[in-house]
Amino acid sequence: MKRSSAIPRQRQSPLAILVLISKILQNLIKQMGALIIVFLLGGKMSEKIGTIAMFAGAFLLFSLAKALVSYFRFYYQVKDGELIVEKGLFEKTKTTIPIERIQAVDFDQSPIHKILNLVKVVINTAGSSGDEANIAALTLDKAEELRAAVLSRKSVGFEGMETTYIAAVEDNRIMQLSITELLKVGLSANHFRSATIILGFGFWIFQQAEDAGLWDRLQALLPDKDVITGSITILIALMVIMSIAALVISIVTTFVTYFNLKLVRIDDSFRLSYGLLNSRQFTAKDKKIQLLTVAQTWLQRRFDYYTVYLKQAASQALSNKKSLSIPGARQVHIDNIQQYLFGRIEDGDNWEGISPYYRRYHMRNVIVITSLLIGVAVFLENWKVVIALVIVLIYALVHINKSYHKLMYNVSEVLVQIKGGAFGGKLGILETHKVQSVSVNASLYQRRRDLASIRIHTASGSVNIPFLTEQTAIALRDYLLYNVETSKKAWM
Amino acid sequence: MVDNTDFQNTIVHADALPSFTLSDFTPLQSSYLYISLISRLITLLLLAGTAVTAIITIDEIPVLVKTYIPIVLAFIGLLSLIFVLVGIKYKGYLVRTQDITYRTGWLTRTVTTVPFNRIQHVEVNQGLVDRWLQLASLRIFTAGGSQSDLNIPGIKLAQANNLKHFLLQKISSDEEE
Repeated sequence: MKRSSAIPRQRQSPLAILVLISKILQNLIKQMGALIIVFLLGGKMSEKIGTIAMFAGAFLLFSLAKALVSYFRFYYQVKDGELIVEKGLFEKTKTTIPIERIQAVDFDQSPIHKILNLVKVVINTAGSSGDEANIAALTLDKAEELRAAVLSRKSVGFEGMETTYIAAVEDNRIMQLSITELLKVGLSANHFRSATIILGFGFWIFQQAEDAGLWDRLQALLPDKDVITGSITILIALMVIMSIAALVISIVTTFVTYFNLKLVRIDDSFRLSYGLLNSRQFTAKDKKIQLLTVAQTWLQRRFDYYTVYLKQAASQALSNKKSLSIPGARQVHIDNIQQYLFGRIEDGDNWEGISPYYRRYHMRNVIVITSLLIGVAVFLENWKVVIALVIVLIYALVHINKSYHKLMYNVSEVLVQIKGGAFGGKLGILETHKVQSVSVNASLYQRRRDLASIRIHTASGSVNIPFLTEQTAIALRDYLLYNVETSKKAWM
Repeated sequence: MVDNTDFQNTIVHADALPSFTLSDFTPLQSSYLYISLISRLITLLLLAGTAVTAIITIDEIPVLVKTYIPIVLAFIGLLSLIFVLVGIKYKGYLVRTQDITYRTGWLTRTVTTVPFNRIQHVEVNQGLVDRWLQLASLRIFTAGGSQSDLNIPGIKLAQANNLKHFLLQKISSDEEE
């Protein structure tokens, strides 16, 4: 068997110098961006060419020098089960990370990396942000070698038994997004986010247009001389343009971010890779994944797509960074992921609903608050606000009713599953032995009706089952605690 | 992989599961009341201080608002006094052979249980007022974040240290298994 768990002390690929130069230049421009723009905008161009050339030269020289120094002072090695990274411009720092503390080794590629056929290696450790041991640029072979060395250590048994890490053999592809699928995923993306960007941008344009007197000229252009219908036409045209722009923006961003998305199963981990300009690769080990959530918006439902989140154990601040989000998944893929993670798919008839008081309580609150507001609006004779409030009220009531009907839970010896959502859908699954603690909460309203909510905490977020009977909540808590306390399985 | 020697699959009857009721909890030390009161008083004084300086320095505040500020402050003070006085009765902790539970809250009541085999580390904290009253608070950290952690205030220092040692012992014996 080939033993690949040691890597001699070495530098990065010489091409790394180019990557470093571009990185340093980018940082320089980012920091001095405002200054540069001010300089470029003011004064005559012909007088500035000399200064521009001088500064550009200085920037280049500075980056080259800095890149060379950091390249020659950077070493990495794997020795005695530790990853050692040495670096530093003036002060030399040596970072030593025991291999068993490394959670994942991810690869990133910027456009420059792609041209030079290099990858950036991101070392994820438990807890800290892990920035201290990133390697800016390695050839793919070297990066693979490093990953193999770091990950192989983990499967070394106690009695000298050694299972080497073989990447190619157990490559099971779970899903892959083709270009047409990717476009559909973009079409079903959350357009509200793009719309807010456009809205901000639109206001700015609007202001500019108004300052330039464009508004009046636009109105003069219209055949209809009626001012009100004229402005309504413009408004509708603007809204149509904005919606199209929002759609285009979400399709383009989805396309660029998730281009060539691939989810692969390797040994006991998932590996996700995607990206057009910046290729990224993430790895999540089964035992690190604490919570599987699946979400579907109203629009995604029309396309039959889901977004899957594999949430890994991490401190609160890092949890977003450490969760793999997989857009454009189909039911088959989710089943597949579940099969890998939990060894089974549990559905059956064990799904239970929650107390109808959930609906009554939330509807009562919404009705009381909006009625008060409507009362005020009627008193002020502001009928537009009244209509808007009535629409909001109807929407909220439908939302609550749907949420009530969709909220269901299923607790077995091994899994806790919660379904939810209103117009879309949500699903959260966690293994009972990954529960960290359990809270039972009861508000004054709930206690009067012998109700309670249960919150189940994991190392990557918590799930809540609201409005159960108090008896059920306590029984569930006792059952979960019993399972956690008798389980011999490690939660991570 | 299933470790066959440890594998058990006994039937679990819901009625037979160990549970607990509110009467099982150990209440906090009654002198913890003073700590709560003092900390509320300090916040109230800070609030009042800001309000007074605002009233004196900013002339634009209408007289009507100025007269209402002390009333609102008094109301907040009274409310927090009631919450502290009543709330302390609903705080308490319970240690069982496998887990530790803390309950808190008067209007909304929360009961959080942490199994010993999920505890990351344990801390005993003593603030300034704690020290005068020989009290301490016991903090129990899990990997589940701040909502999942327990902070049990108002325990006698010796008791807190005992509990801490007991818990640490439990954690290390769990790890040996």
